[in-house]
Amino acid sequence: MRRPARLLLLVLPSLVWTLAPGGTLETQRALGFGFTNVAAEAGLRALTTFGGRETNKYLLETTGCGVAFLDFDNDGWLDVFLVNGWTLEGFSGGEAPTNHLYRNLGNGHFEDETRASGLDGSGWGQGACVGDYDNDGREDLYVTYFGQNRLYRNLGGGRFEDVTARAGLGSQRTRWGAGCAFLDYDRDGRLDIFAANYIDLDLKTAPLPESGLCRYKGVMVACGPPGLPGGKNVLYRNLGDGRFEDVSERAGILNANGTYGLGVSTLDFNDDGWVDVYVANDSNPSALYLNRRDGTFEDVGVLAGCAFSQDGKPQAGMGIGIGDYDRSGTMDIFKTNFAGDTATLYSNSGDGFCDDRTFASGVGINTRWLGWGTGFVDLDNDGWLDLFLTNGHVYPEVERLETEAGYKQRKVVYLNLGNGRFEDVTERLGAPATTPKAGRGTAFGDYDNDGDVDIVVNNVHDTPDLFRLDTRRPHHWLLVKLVGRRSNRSAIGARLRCVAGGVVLVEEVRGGGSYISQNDLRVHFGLGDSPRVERLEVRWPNGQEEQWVDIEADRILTLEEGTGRPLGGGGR
Amino acid sequence: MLSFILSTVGPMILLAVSLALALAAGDETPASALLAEGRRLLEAGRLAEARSRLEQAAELDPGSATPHLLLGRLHDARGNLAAAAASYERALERAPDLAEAHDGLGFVLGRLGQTADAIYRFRRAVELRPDLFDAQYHLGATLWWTRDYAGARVALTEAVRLRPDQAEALYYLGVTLKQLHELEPAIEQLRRAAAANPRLAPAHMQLGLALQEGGDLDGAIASLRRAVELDPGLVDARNSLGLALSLKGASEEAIATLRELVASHPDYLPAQQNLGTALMQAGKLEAAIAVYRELTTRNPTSAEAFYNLGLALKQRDDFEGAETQLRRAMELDPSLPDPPYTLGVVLWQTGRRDEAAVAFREAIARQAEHADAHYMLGTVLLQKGDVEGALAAFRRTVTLNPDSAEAHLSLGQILQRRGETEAARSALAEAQRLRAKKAALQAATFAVDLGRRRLAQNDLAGAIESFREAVRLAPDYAPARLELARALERSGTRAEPQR
Repeated sequence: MRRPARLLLLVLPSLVWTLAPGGTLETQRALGFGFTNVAAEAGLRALTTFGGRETNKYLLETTGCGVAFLDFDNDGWLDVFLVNGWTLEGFSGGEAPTNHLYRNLGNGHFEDETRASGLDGSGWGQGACVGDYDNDGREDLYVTYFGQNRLYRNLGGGRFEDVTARAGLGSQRTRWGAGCAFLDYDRDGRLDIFAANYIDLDLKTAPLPESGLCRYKGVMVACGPPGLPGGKNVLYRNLGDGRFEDVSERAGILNANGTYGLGVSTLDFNDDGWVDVYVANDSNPSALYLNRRDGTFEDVGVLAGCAFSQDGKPQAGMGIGIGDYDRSGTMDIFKTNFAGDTATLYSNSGDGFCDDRTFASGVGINTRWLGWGTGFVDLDNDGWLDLFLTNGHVYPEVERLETEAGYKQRKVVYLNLGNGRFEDVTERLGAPATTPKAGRGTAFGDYDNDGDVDIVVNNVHDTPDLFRLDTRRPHHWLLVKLVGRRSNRSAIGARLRCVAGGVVLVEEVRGGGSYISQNDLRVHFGLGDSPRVERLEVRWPNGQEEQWVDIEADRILTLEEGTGRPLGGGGR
Repeated sequence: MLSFILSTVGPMILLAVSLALALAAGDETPASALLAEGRRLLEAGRLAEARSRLEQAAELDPGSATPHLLLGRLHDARGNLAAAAASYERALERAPDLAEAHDGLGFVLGRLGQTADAIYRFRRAVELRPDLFDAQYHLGATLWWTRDYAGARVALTEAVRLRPDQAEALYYLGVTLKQLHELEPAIEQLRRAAAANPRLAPAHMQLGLALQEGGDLDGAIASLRRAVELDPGLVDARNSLGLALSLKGASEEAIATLRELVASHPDYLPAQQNLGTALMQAGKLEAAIAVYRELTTRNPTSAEAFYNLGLALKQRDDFEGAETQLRRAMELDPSLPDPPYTLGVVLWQTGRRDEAAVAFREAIARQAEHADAHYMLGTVLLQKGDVEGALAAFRRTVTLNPDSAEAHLSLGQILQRRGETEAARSALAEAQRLRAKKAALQAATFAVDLGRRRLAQNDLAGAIESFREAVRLAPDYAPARLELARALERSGTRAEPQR
């Protein structure tokens, strides 16, 4: 039943537009792209359970879950891992919700491989990140929880093993893990793990809504984070023998200006070849951990101007997008925040500072939405990075208020106009972008390998969304998979510079990202009208630089470290 | 015929008989007997009969002031103020130092709109008779109405000393003290007024307002509810009750209260303003906008109405609409600083920095100590590249508002970029200290809440631990210290040393 629809799609592409339920045909054609939510027909039907549906006693019930794109079976098709949650009342045996692993069949459909994979863990699941920590060629998973984070080693054959304890990653006490990222911070070729911790929450002593101390527009809601003890982020160094060591204190991770960490993403902020980390903090200054290249980090967020709003206020940071939206060659930062506030766009000045361009860029026009997952993504392959935001209110109690936005909220899509400004095109896109959902974790990746970046969203008390992106205009693209040999196998921390048609595009392979989620580790370039890439330069995580030249566009390219032409500069 | 004769001559015969009896009883004079009779009848409310006696007494004893004094009161009771004034003046012709007559005349003149003359008479009365309660009270109340609060306080304090249980005097003293910003003493007097006369609705209302000003929302709501129960026509009380409920977070009740008031008194605009505020606070943005639009239509010269509409539209991200309303508010009242300030924020949010700077400067021109306007001006100037201008603005901000963490932060960031490392470090440290202090206070409120819960579960030791933690976090947080002291007392432990 499903295959004929897929064949129809391939044979008669114009029919996509008459079948697509979003917006109007005319507006989608004018924009050059459109979304179709294919989650149900693709087989992504797992319900995410998370706390109370109508009221939440604790903030624990509000954060929702992340999602990861990964290729666990190395068949070239992106699979989906959805984290799941819990409730205060718990579940009787057999009814507990579990995380879900969906294998991409390559034909637009997915198969639920959860039970067979061993990834059917349960609990207050939070985020997920992906990386090949043991360099065996198979992507592993780290899943954060309120409770105990878990490291799942990919054994091959579709199976994972929980190696948390053996890896030395067990914790003596309950911690609230949030966003995470694999990264090679010391450039020893092995992926380490960074995890944010949100709140040190003790359910026995935390205040309750009925205390009246915590209100949102007059309605009593779950308390925090201000007033509750903040969590401390953690950095685990990969010792190379399957074990990790907690180096948080030694590495300076504990000396951050703020706390209540949520979204995490790696980036090379100062372009020195050493991976840095950005953490979106809730109600506190966000952290920019700059790698000092000596095994330590320094939180320079406040001094660099990347921590607060442009009028100096801490914001409720949730999700992170990293990308070079203005083609300046530096990694810019986008952060989603609370309702009543704008999202934040920091342009990387290139000399160690963030220039807040929120209002100047036009993304400051929206304050009604409460943002979670987000990312820079070239939606029309014109070479300019656009923005996608997933929204949903924190408090289900907000349904009692006649606020415009409500608990379930629409997405926001900003089109990059190429002149430093963005335009909100959400209404023009129509459904499913305008369909209200209680969205949280969001991951970006080309699951159907057609050259444009699709989006998967983990919704609270709902099934996920899978926004298949379809581009109309004949723009070119390139999807690059990097394989490290001396560097970490996943090539997390690699920096790519793509020169095509006189345009230079810079990107990275990143750990973490969005809101407690993991994007496709392959790097996507929209090339506009350029059918070829004159030059593709790669700086590997260990510092080695290589280039490839004269690459045909519109393909998925796998590049192995050591197979390109050296560029000068060296590794360790 | 007999009945007619009896009806006309009867009273005269009775008068003759009573006079004869009085004389037989040994009364001094016929005039004094008539005077006594007239006073008795006046006090009994038999005004016509009283008048007859008093006029006769005046005729028989033309030099006596008392009949005229009493006639003054009689005419006053009948609402004939001109006649009352004339009688009092006659009394004063005969006895210029008759304090009661000065007081009575003052009371009449006040109601005839001759306030200055009334005050003169009251002052004369209290000079002659400082112990005359009525004069002190009348003087105090009249001075309150003429906004001479210092003078009012003197007179009313004396009146209350003379009659400690007189509700109206207590009431006026209370509202006077409130005007003088002596809130705690005001609350005390208003409580006494409400206790002296539990049905005095204005006392409950003013007590409610004073409690609200002092931060006791629960007390305010209770008092305002009582005022409204006693007198549903007291629109100010109903309006204030709605606002207090809204501030308390009881949005639905606030909105219902104010909607009812607006429906019954559609011309009472303060209720519509507060209804809009309550709707905004409840997140009912569209309803608030509708209320504010109605207000601007019905009151097209109200800057406040246009300002509130502009604020609401801004919340809806309707920046164009907000700008229009805020500019109108600015035109209508060139003295208000908030419309240009908020306009500046709107312009800044839409990327119009130059215009935003102009608007913030206008706000500062209207209110030189507007710390937020100085701060936002600094923010915009910095973004425009005017570092010196920004620096000056941020410095001004911290002078006006030393607790602005944002201003210290912005100052520190500029100084850091200029290489003024020490000064930068100091500013940034102050910003961090202020943020930490705010966070600690929030944590302290949670710790107090936990302590109270533990007390409810009879966990006294746990409660003490929580209250100690609250005091550690925020040593100046009074509820924490109070709860700790109480808990220690319960445990039999000596109270901890006070700071």
